[in-house]
Amino acid sequence: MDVTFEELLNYLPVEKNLKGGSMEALLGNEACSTAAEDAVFSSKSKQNCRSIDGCPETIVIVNTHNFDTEMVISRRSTYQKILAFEKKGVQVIERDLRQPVDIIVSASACLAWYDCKNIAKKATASDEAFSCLPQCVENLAANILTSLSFAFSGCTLVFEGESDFIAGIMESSDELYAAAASLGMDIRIFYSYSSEMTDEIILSCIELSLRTSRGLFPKMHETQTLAESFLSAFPSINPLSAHAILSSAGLLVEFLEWTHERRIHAVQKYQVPDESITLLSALSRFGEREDSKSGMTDCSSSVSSAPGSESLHFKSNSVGTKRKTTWNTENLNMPTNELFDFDPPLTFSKDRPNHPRASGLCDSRISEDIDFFDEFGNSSLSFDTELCVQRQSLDTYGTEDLFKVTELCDYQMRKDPQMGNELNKLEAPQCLRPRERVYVRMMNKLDRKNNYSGNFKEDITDEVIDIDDTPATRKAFRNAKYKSFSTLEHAMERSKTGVPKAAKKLFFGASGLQEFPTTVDIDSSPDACTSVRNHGQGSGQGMGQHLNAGFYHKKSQIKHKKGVTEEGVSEKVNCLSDLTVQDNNTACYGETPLSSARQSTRLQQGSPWTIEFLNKMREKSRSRQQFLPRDLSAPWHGYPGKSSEVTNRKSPSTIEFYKYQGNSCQEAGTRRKRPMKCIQLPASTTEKASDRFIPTWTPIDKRAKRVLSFATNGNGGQTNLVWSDKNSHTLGRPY
Amino acid sequence: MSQGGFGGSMPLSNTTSLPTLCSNGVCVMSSTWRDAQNPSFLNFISRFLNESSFRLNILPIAPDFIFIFGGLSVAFMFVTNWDVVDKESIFRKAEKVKEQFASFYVVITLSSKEQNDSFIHSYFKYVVQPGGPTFVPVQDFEMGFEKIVKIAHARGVCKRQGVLAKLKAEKEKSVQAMEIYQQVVTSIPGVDSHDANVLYQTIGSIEAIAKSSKEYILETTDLSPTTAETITRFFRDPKFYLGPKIG
Repeated sequence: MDVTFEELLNYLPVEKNLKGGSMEALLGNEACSTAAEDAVFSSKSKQNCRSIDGCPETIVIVNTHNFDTEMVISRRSTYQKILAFEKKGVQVIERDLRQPVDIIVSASACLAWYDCKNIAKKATASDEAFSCLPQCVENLAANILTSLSFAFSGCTLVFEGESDFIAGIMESSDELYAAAASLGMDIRIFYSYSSEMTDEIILSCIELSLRTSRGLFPKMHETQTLAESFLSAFPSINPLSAHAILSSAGLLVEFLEWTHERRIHAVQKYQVPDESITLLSALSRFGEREDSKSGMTDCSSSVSSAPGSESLHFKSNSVGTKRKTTWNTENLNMPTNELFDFDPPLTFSKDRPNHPRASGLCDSRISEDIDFFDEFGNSSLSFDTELCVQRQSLDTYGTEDLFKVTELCDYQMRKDPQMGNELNKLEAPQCLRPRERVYVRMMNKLDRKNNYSGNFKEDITDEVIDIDDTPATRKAFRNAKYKSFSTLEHAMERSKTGVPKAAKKLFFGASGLQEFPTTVDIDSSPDACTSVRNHGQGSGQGMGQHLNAGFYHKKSQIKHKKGVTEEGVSEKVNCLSDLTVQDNNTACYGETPLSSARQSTRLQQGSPWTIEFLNKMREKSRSRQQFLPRDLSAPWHGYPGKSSEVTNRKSPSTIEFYKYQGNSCQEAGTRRKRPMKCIQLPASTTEKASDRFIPTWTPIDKRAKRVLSFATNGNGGQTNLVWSDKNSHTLGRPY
Repeated sequence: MSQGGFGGSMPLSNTTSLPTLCSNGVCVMSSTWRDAQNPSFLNFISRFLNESSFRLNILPIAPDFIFIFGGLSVAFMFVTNWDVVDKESIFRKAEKVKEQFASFYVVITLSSKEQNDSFIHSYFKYVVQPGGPTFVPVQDFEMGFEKIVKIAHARGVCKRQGVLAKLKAEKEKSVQAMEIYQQVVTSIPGVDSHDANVLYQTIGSIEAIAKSSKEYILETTDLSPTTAETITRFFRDPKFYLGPKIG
């Protein structure tokens, strides 16, 4: 190592890392220290000598957390190439990041690198190690991306490995894309077959950032400042965003005095995501006291000349030491429409005390909570309307005649004779050509949606784009107002079980022969029949979908007589059906009414799942707060390696509304025929996975009947350790 | 990787009207794209859509596919011949279509390492700014179309259920927690957990703490004068708060 002792002493990151403890680990870990020291000291010392004058071209932050094994900084060659960017004016900063990323390339974008060795650790909680790649990807989509979405609006994922590993990721990649979309994130996924290509991707991402954010930032402190530490403690603020905030405001207090809009405006040029500031604002007003506000702000105005603060009134008798706050965690947990209807100027302005919501906060929260329920009720209504609308089948250029599947049974609908009659009465204008008529019918379907749900009108207007800019389609759009519907008389046969025979044929093979008991048998209960019948009235439970899923699920056990071709198709549809509908058999994997509802694409009005959902949401919120790490260095949303308990989601996320619920890799393995069904990760991770306690492996008679829990004494203060029945809902289980 | 392997060879016709089926949604396929594909692959697509209850339309549209489901249109480009296609034209077309469709994905079949590397080189050569179309590399045609349908379906479900808004609200609610409050407040030098609790109960929000004067903190809390001084100085003195964090 060509590094002098003076250089080492002058090396600022050493000081930083020693403070943070990571450099101690670096120096203490002989196995990894050579590469890391070489990379860090040799290059950084040069940079230290050179120093960047004025504003850097851009700033890149490299995560030093778990640098020895998991992060990209552990790969010496890659890190040296990143450091080489300093010659181009890029400031490379090292930080022990909470966020599970390798590199922060801009205030809004990050990069995470995974290979077959580190994905089990990086993509899962520290107490979990999935031996199965789909589970890792699933967790990546559900937890890691959610965690990243607090502080970033864009994310680049690089998966490096052999073709099997990459194929395994690709198999499940749709979950990542869907999760990112639902989180409002831009996602880029790259696959790399070699470390060289990984380096190229990383460097290209930095260059791309250099192109788009050149000269935005002033130079960043090599060591973490107090203010950066403070701002980074906000879950939605990454160090680069913190630097942007500090660069945008004259004083730290000024930024916190600004209105929400002004904050967003101030950091906009630094590409800080708006949502990050929204979340910062939400947290910074958490615990806001109605009575203390005026007195406090008045004192503040005497100290700092915040804009407009002079208009506040001092409330001399409103304060006293140790006043009891009016807030409690229950109130804080309540989902409120206020969150949906964010009102930045009023919410954060000095006029807040005059805001109607400022008084009777608890009451307003209660009422808002009712609104929240109402909102879900409306949501249910929309689903019902969608259900009705979906009965309006269209003549399309389908493929029925190509494959002679003439008996494809529409088990989901057409049970309502009135609906059938209505549809029979309506026809597309005969003046149009067949193709145009088809289009008209499609548009009619959309138009019908507008009649059923106000939301759909907006949806269609905003989302459905002119897909065919030809005179024919324009005409079709013009004629979309016609209340015409295609005739749909598709004879449907039902077996005694209420399951369409044609559906059986479709899903079990052309012959309809069954070699094994199928879900049809399971679904043949009267309830199932009732549900199917009621589906048309929008009061069923989506049982048709369940049946459908059941067919799919069992289909792997059935001989297909149409050979490989159809089998291949069916297997793929299988996956879709799993994603679409709820499999009745999933009960054995822990199905709940909530999961059933989540899987149902057609929500029924009045079904109890909405309330169940809300309860789950609250429960999740409470459990998050209840089990937050006592180690305050770890964020609530968890980061593998920081705090194990917080990384586990205590209840399914909202993301899982749409997520595939395959549950087990074994199940996935039977569903498809692709070679990469369940990639076994390296032994280190599989051992860890196997070491995990799996309750289902414990014989029933050997399982603990009671659990040790904390219990309050009723006053909310003192707690006791008590044994409680596992089934008791009065006491939470300790973590 | 061959496009064959499937029995039928009959190309999809856009002149045949078929009996209607129940449907998850509508898939509109570009007639131009269809004409460039192997019939066996088209047969696979049609069967896949058929069995997954998506109705198929064939129209001369700009993207290769548009899925209309859940009140949302999701557009796709499906590049099945990366080796022979003009790379720049693909990216230019993708950028153009992205301007028309908010939900737009480019699915590219990359069946070999060489193709994957070629795609990455091209991506960073032609994609000039983030926020462009989302590219979905896949191994083969079947996986590609499966991804298309799955993504379209998931997007539709999310749209229908308002997942985006719900998640935003959930996130906003989740950051408003006492533990996170403590986490932030204790990052102020000299403030420990007890002080954070006191500040929460007396002064309240972080905004309020930032705005509070030393006198006000001393008046309303039992914090020491040193701690009160540190807090007020922390928010107002750049020399202090831009100092290195120790410990």
